[in-house]
Amino acid sequence: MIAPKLTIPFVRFELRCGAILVVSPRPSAPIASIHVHVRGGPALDPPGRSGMAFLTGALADQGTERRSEEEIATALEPEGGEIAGDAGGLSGSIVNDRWELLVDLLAEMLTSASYPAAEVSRQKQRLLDRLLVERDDPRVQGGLLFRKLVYGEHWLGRASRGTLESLPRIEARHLRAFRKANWVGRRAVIAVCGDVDPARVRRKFDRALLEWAPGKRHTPNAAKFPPVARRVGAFTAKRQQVHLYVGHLGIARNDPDYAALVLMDHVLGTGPGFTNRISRKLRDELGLAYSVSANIHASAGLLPGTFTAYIGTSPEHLSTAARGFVEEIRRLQSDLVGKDELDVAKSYLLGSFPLGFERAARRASYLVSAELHKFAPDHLERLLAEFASVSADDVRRVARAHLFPDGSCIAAAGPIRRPELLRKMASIRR
Amino acid sequence: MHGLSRLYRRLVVEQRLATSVSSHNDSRVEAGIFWLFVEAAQDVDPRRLERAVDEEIGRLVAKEAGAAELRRAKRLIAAGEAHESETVSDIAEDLGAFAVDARWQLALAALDRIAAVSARSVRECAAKLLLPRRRVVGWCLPRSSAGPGPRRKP
Repeated sequence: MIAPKLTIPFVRFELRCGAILVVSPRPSAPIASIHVHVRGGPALDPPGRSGMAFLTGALADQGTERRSEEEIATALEPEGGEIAGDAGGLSGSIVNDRWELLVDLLAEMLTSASYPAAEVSRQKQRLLDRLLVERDDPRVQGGLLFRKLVYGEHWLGRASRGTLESLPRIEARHLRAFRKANWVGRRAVIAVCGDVDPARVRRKFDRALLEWAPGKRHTPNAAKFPPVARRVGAFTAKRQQVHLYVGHLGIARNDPDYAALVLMDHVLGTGPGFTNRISRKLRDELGLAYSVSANIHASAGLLPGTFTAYIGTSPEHLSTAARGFVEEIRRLQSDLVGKDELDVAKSYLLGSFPLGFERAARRASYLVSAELHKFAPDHLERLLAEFASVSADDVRRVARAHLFPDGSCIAAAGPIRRPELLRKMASIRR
Repeated sequence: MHGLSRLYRRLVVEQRLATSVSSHNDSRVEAGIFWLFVEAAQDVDPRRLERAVDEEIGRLVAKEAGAAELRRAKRLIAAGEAHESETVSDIAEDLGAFAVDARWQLALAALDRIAAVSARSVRECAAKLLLPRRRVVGWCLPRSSAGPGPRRKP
């Protein structure tokens, strides 16, 4: 199968403040997008104040030393601009001709977001209201429980937006201090995609970030995770449906088996949902659910993601669904995938993958990721070629190497208690 | 809904009655639906929230928007068009939707038609369409305040 061509040209600079700037010129683009990633994120949340990194990013648009929240909105929105933040930093898009305004505003937030007390209080209350709603949502709580079972006490096992307990402890002064200490030039990767001249973008950022302290580089602590082993938890709620999460620690993005695992995912439980095995079996043949999936590649990052198989189903079908997951994983580990099935998965992947890079925002986020993972300039082209060359043997080999049905964590949320869940899951062991 | 809109500023920013507010005009070949979604902040009486929405609609009907506000709204829509037609898939979807619901040529004339809208026509449109007798209002309440099952709004 022949792989399509996909290249994202870019120019890389180091700014005077120490930040890395990657610019991808795209002639005639109607939209310019900028992503600013600041290394550290939720790993830097102080004990008892989880959500600090998230709020620092999410509330950076609530005012700066020069402008109020309303003044920022008045400057940005009529120009078709939008800025959003999270634990990883800031990102924004704007009508291409006004990209310099977006640079100015992002630079202002990076260097002088002031977190006015009234705005912080209002936005914190909005988030607390949202968390209160989610406290009773079995799908959300099931997902959080699953992460906790897999990652244990590591920060990846926590809710990056914080909790009902931690958010009230975070005040405006904490956010100002967190930004000043952690949002520094040497920790930042900035990616720009649009109809822009890279040299001009560099000059613009160098001027706008002239006052930004270079600071110290972020040195991550060695990651420690619980061993891959069965751990089971239940979130009990009166609902019609049980949300079931089955899986374990997954792979980091630089894993050499990444391409073969992407193909494996598309055979097992990823994609449009018409051809993968668990959708066909659990949804179409057994009628157990509308929503069902399995995936190991999508969450892979600098640190390992998870292998997660998910289904929302009625309580009486829980054992059947879990058994279905395990049987399909074991089949993938024991039998070679047929040529037609592999070709369908490859054809879908090779056709759809480049479409994911149509938008400037997606290109900018990819360029940040490429810098963080130290991808080669022709990474995307090579990745597509790797997809095309994955064999049935490769799929079976990586399924054996990376999937552990007997060592999977199991989280269920809905009308079920842990003892009952343990009984049901014991019945599906080999 | 953008951060400068009347409903967002009043309900979310100034009075903290809601955590979010959005609107959507789902126009169709036959009569479509104009949707307005508001999520109440904790412990806010939904009747108070509904009254505030009514008052803002009332303002729209009673008095024409100022020139600056109308100009800003038009610029927002024009900028939104740039975002919504960024990819070939976006453009195809837009053409297809207009072809099904009206005429595909309208997709190409959208910005000119928006530019021609006056403050008076906005007010007249609101007065004609956003009437209490034309609407259906639904509340989705937590079980503790709604009782065991669906019930009529008071």
